[in-house]
Amino acid sequence: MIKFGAKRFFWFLAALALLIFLHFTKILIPLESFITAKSRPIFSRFYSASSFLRSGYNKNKGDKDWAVVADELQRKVNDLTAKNAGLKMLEEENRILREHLNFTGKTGSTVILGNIIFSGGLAAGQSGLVTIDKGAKDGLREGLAILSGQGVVVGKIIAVKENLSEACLVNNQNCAFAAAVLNEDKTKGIAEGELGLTVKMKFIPQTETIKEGDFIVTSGLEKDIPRGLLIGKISRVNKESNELWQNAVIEPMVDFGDLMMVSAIIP
Amino acid sequence: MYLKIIFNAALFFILVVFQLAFVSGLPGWLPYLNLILVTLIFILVLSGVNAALWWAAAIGLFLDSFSFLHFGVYFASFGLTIAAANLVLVNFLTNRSLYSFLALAVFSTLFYELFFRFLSRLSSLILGKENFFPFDFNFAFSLAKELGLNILLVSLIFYLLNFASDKLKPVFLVRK
Repeated sequence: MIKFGAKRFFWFLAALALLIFLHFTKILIPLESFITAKSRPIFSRFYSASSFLRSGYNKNKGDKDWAVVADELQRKVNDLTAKNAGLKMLEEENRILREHLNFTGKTGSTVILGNIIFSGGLAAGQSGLVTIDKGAKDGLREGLAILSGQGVVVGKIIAVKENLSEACLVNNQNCAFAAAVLNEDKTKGIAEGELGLTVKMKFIPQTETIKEGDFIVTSGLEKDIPRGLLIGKISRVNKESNELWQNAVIEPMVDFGDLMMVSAIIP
Repeated sequence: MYLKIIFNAALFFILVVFQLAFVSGLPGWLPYLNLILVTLIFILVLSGVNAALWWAAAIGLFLDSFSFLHFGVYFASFGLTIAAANLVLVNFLTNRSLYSFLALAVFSTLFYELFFRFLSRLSSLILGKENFFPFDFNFAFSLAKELGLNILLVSLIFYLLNFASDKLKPVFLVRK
């Protein structure tokens, strides 16, 4: 005869039913808000400590030839300095045009800064999700883009509570963005994560010309995400003549493992 | 009595914060470790099903406050995992050997993960939201990593407890 002890589990299920009832009648909400509000700073500190360890580990993991890396970086600095000079002129020109057109511009958007308090959850395969210590009370809502400190898109808010919000990172396979390639045609497509490892831009018509090194930005077709926010750079183009669309592998511009703080843009 | 409750509450709070905020941010495979489940298994075997259920309820309630899934998903997942693990422990595992602990760890991890997936899928359907926890290769691979790490941790804690106390040592009756 198999022993089960059904009585105590009946009480457990009754407690569960009661808690669900109290949650949906909003009686439990103050307690939940209290728990989340009071423990956010502790979560944040633990996550910072853990991120510090992870960053140190990641930095020491690869054996690199630092002289080669330094040369490569120097070349990039020279290139970027040259580009920067050109961009500064464009920026000035743009500023004057904006003044004329009475645009509010980028400064018209509200930026909300938040700490990541934990990543993933308590189940297998929950990578590519982060929880931020700002929520509906701070003005966040579903669909907003979240950016790294360098202004690169790292994810999108998918759920919001009073004090917290959950965001999917761009490498999460369920996270998709309306994206555009910074080429002559401003080719549009959908950028979405693959297996939590990489990002792919899909649904690019075969007639469009895209190449390695092209930058991918948000296209502005999503209601709450302004256009022109940098997502990444094309590292490979997959073009098969028998396919309806071509796609491109995007190299993200930030290491998602190093993220500790993010900012959400409210247009 | 109250002191005991406060002590237990502090312990489970530290455990949850450590798991969610610290372990989840560690490098390599370490974030796959389910410290909470392993702790619940040891509580179940060493302190009994009532204590394990109280811990499961408290941890579940705490996690549900942070979770963006349907309220009660963690509460139900941990509670029913303890119920199922207790069923296996009482009816099929009669001693407190390392193998019993390992079998319980494997069973509990599989039960918890599958039940959690099922509930989160149900939750997505009810709330009409996109399901972020599909049954796919990524899940299978993550589950394998979690199983491996949980088994390692259970073995480690078992040997540490065995070293520190006599509670898990086999008892032999000697005829005089």
